[in-house]
Amino acid sequence: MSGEHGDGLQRSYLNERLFGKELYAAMKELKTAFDPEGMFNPGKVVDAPSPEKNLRLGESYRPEKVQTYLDWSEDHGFTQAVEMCSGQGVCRKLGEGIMCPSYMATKNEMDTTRARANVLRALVSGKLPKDAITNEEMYEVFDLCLSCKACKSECPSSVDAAKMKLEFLAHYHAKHGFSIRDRLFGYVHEMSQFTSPVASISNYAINSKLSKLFLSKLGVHPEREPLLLSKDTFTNWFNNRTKPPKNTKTNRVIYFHDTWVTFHHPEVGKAAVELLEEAGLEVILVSNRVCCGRPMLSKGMIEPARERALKNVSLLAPYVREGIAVVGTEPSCILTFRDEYLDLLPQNEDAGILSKNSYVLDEFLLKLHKSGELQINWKQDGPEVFYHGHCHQRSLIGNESALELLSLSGCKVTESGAGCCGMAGSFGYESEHYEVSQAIAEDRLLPAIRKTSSDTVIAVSGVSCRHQIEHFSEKKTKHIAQVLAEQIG
Amino acid sequence: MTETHKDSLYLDLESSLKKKLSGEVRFDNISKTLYSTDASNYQIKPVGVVIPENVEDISNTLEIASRYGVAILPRGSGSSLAGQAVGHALIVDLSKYLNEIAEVNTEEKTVRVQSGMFLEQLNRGLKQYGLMFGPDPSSARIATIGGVVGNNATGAHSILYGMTGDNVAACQLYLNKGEPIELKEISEKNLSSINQSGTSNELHRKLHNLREKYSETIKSDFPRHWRRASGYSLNYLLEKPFNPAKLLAGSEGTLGLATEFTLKLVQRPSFTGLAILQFDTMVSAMEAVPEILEMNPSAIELIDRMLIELTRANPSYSQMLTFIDGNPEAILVVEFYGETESEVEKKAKYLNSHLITKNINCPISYALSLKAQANVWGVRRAGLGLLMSKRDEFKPIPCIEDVSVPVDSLPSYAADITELIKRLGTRASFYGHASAGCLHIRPLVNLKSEGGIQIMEELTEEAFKLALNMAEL
Repeated sequence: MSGEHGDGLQRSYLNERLFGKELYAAMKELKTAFDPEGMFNPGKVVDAPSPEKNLRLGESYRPEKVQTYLDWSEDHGFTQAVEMCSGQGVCRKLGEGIMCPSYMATKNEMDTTRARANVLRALVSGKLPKDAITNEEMYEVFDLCLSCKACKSECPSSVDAAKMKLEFLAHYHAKHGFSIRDRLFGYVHEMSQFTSPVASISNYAINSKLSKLFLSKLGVHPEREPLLLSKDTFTNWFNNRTKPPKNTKTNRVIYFHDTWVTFHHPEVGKAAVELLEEAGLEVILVSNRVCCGRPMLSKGMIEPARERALKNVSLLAPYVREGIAVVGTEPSCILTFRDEYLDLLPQNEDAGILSKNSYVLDEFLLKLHKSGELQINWKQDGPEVFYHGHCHQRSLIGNESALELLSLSGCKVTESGAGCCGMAGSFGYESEHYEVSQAIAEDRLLPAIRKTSSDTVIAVSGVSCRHQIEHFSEKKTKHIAQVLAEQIG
Repeated sequence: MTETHKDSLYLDLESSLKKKLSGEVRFDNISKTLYSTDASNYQIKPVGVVIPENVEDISNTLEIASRYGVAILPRGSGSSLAGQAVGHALIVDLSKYLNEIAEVNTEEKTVRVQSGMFLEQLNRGLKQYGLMFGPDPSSARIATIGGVVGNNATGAHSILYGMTGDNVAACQLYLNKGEPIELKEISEKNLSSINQSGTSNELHRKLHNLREKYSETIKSDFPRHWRRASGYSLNYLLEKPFNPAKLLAGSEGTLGLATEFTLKLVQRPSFTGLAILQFDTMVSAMEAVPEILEMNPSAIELIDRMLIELTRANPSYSQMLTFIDGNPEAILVVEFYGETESEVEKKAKYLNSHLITKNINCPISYALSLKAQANVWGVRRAGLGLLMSKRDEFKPIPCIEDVSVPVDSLPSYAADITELIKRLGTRASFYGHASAGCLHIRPLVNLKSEGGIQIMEELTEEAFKLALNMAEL
């Protein structure tokens, strides 16, 4: 008999045989004493239906094949990926881990990984109409998914809601098209690239009342600060500086200078270059690289993202084939190479090679350290550092390399212990998501930040996590590369 | 009733609820889809979903539903494994708003808590008092108190703390038409002298009569094996003084809608430590269980080869797998409590010499630091999840699930089940609470095929018969 998991629809029918006629009669009388009209959860414990009825899968279960935009072969297909959700509901846990930030903020079943898998299973099994994949009701189920990828590692069945959201958005937008705001966020790299030569004017313009009004009409929350351009780009600095003397024996490494580093935060790139050169490597930039495609993917713009993936893969793979690694400071860019590029470009050998040889900076430096190749002499004494990891990094490769490297460099590091920051790229900028974004940050991150002392350095690796913390707290943040570069002895 | 008739009835119900409630009323297709499953093999679309904001909402919901003759299904996280939380009814989701600790009584070691609170949240809130709720189902992070009681939940430490029912002191229960009553311990004198009318009095009288009528049968026929989550907990009818709140343990939401429970608490243990025993065969591991129990451990947990292999294959969990050498068919994780670290260490190490005197020779290792223990528990708790993450049509399905037998019968039960599974041409993973004779057995079955469904039925049936044949059930 059941020693733990109960009777329900699976085993209630056995109770009469298990307990015998008389005890079963007593049970029925007990039920009637409490619930004479049989109103509460009928069909469980006593008077059960046959266990073969109402099966979730069952013989009549005939899933429809859905034409997909992404490659799902690693899961044996889209249907199988969706069926992986067993319904345990671990995505409803509170106060620990990252999964699921949207549920932690709203406590709505609709905002769980399980809900996202459930609606898609209902779709493939015909419980929802075929056009549900393009309707507003399903949009609502995916709307608050921040694509943090936490479920990819925290869900016991590794259900990947971020990938499901991307697949859904592609179907949805194929019917409804993209809004101006979607395009604005999706093409942020191109926007920055276009306005950067006239940075001062662009900054002035974007700060103007008119621009703010325009943006808020498009659905950008008025409280959010616009992202300002740096007067000089990282690329200019890199090309015009006095380069360290070349040594033919030196190993080379590609620094993937992402949009944020190039146009907005060149100081992060400078710190990364300093670290890599101190480590004894020659840093190369691939100047005609394009946006990694992450901003597009978060809006469901699969085709332009695929074009960019193809371009980056064909540019970078030849270097990788020569044994040159690709290193970046924005975890979501590097991890898009490692994760989504494989779904966008199945059977592309170059994509596979790039994915295996792309590293987040701290991960790369620690790898060098472990193989005894890291030549950096660190200062012995460092500041107190409060480190908050990027969700994609935590989910796909873990925080350990960042924490280990920070303490190696002499910092006294504590981990935030918090979940997602709630920004997730453009998510927190969007008017309808602003409150949820704040609620997610307030769950554990902001209270922990407020407790840090004034001389504690807040180290973060994602650009949106930095903006989120600075927006909702009085504290300034640094990229982990900057903190590490300051520890060079 | 015809379908159109029903549809218009449900439309009326929806609008009546919306008019009266301050909480959420969801009858849209997507919401109904989301509440049509739990963690079981089943799926039923509910009539609608109510997410009450307060107890007035609950009262009103029950009153309105009763007028329309629509059934009520109280639900927490919907993590039930046997389909308890799905049905053609109006689902009342208590987890969103009814999730607070009302009162902690440190002297009596009790807590009054709303039934929508997650067990882990409750324990987090109790930590500052050095207290916790004893039964520890591995789903504690998401299982609500209502579900924990409804399933008579327990976990790895059941040999110390028993089942949830043993730890229930009182409850606030809403019956049909929305009337609340309080259930708590009642003296024999008061129980036998109830003569006033009123719902609560009438219920107590009926329960008293039920006890009189069936006490002999319950004494002679009710299963003596204590680890039981089947059927109603008739055993509590006989207890003196009588506490009707305990009858809700294992009632799966079929007796009423409970909004609040008073639970008995236990002291958190000061120190814990683990001994990990490796066995070449499942049967030899099961044979060791009664001998280990003589050493008064706080838990004995089983992990089998299939799980070890899955753990090895998972990049994040494989790092935790520092406590196994070679390729054992089964390992037993034995936990000891103590007031000091050295007491725990002594107990764990003494186990080895005790087993040698019993002619049980197996490789043994220890996990005494917090980190080492966390690794072992991490692997054990990840068990079901790792099984579920297999990307395959053959899924580890719940059907034998958690059949519980007396510990002395464990070796023959394990041998017979292994034989049965082999005969049906499949494999299964065994894990769970060996200390209490409760094994979780998950056979790999393809439920999308006719053959698979037959295998499921045969396994459920045969495992049931085996358990029935074991000495005292």
